Amino acid sequence: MAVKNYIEAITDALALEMRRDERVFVMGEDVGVRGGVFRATAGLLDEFGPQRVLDTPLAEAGIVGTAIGAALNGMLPVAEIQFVDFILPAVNQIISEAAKIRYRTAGDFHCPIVIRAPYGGGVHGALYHSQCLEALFTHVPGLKVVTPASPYDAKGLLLSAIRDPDPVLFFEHKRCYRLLKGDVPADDYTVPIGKVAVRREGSDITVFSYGLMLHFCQEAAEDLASEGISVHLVDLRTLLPLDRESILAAASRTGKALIVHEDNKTHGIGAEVAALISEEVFFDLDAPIMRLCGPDVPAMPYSSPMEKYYMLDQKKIADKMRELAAF
Amino acid sequence: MEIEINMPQLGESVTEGLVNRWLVKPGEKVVRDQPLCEVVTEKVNAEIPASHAGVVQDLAAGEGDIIPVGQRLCTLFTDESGEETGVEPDHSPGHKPEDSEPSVQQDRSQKLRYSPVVLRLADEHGLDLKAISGTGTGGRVTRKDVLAAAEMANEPASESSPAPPGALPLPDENQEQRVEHRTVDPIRRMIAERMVRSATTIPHAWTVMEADVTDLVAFRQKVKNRFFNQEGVRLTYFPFFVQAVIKGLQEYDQLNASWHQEHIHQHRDVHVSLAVATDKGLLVPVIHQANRLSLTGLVHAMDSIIKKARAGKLTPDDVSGGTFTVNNTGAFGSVVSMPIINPPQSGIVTMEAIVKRPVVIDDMIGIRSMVNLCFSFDHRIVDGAVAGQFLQSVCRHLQVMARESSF
Repeated sequence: MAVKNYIEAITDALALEMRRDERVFVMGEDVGVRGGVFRATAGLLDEFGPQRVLDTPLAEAGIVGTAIGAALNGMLPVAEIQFVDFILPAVNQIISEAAKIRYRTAGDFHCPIVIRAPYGGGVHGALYHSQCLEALFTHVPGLKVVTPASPYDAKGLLLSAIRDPDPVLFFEHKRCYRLLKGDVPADDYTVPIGKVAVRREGSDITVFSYGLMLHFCQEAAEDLASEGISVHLVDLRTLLPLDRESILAAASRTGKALIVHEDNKTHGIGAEVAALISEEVFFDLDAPIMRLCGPDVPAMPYSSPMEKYYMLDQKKIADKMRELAAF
Repeated sequence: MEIEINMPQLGESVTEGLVNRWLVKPGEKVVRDQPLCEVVTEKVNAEIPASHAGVVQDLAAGEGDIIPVGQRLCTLFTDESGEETGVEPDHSPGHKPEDSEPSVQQDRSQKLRYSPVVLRLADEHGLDLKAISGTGTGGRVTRKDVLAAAEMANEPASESSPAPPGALPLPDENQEQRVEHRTVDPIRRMIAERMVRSATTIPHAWTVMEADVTDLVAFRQKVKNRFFNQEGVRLTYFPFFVQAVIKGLQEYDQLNASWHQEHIHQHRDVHVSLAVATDKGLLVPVIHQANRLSLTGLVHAMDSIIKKARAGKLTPDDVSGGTFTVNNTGAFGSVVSMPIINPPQSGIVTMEAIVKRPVVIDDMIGIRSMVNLCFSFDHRIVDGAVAGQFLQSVCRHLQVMARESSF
């Protein structure tokens, strides 16, 4: 089995599905000749030609609107938004159109689009290249929001997303692109949307995370193991719909739950997971549900020390884990 | 300004106190030093005074509650700005905790806060949460603590439940009902903790010597009635013994010392700790600067402190600062015992029962009053040779004491 990094796994999935199903095509800013600013679509133009690898104008509403129209006409578009920071002009298309098509046509039409977008900080990207915007979309019924935390999941989840009959936002943490390497099978496999993955079995505290933070949580959990603190680590993977059963089972397992995400705290994913746990398994709880999240400030700072302050890291996470374990 | 009144450190290694009775009510005006409540600890009973004049705002502890040292008992509201009174007054002057006694000041503030899962599991397993000691923050009982307690509680039950084939049916009473579970009271727990600490951390060495106290017995017989008429106190052998120990300690002052890991503290004065049996348990009051007392003075000092101990009226000062312990084990007929050192002291000597025995003196056999002195010492502080010389010295003093004492 080949060892690939996270972004190679994405390219792998796109090429595989384009070979398998000729309705699949990619579109976005610089995805063709340039092969994507992060090289996610490198080589696709050569293999599949300009009819299936479309360089678009810098107009996100146009990219998503075109994708929706193509999907309604039987195509399976994979649209790339160069940075999630630029998805905002397309929000009307996503929320008002894509998310509602199945509902407003009583199931006569559906909207099988995938919108890929790199997100997240820690790359010195400052205000407009560092945002986490997943919580804007997880509030919207009719959407699916996915964010893989490993190369294996990146490929398997992207294949599931393309094959899903409804709109899927596929968020890729840009720091993971070349940081994470792992075994990625060359053949066709899928990772189901709406299912968590338990990354580590433990008995003292349960930690939920996703994306880059999941990776930091994993490292922190390894540190804590040497201190005798056993962490049960859950990768949410899909933020909408949440895998309620697995989340509740994992929280009940230790009675102590911590949600870690890079996105800011207020009205974030952590709030939803915490509310779910306290609604459903209150009598299994042994401690207040804790959240460790980015600060509620408007944007990622440009200054390196400030960016470091903003971002969670292994140490901040380990400290919070210790606090919960001691409670 | 709000002033918190906290549980003071009432003596060495006291970690908590029981609020026996409140003497004030919320809203009541108090003057400075007015007693606020009575507190009972393993060793002493004390009244907690108001550090400032003011109004009592709230009581943070109920009567019967056990409050850790340093935790809030109540809050006073004062008019003072607090600028000059920012320092928490020391309620227990003269006995700062010894540094060799890492006072186990556990925060138990969360002991009675139970999480949903803890309440549910305790209910399911029929466990008394107050009996479970918590390992969480602030002494909170965690889910794991309850699960561990449930497992412990289940073990004996599962062993005894399947009756062996052919076994006689048990009597109606459940076996468990034949065992009474008594809660460990603060004094008992204190004694247990100290004994375990002493026995497990101090390398005890032990030696016994016998002293011929025939002259002393005769002397006491001769003077005891006169002594009682003059002093109003009965003259027993124990003060003679205590004085002999003090003299021995003055000669071998290496033993009037305490162990503090990096340092050995050498004490100039002998503060004698007396082991006193009371109906509540063993108490160890201290006679300070006993080396400055005459025999008569010692008799009075011992008499008054022992009475105080038995009446439960010892103050923090009365139980702290001892440098060496003596124990009158002979009072209950023992002839040999192995005493456990009262940390951080260097040693403890017992006076066993005085018995008449045939003894060989100058190749003749005589009937003499003999007493054994048993000595446990901390081998980290001194070696056997010094310990032996010390004990010999005590015996010698005891033997000649009759000649040297006069009333």
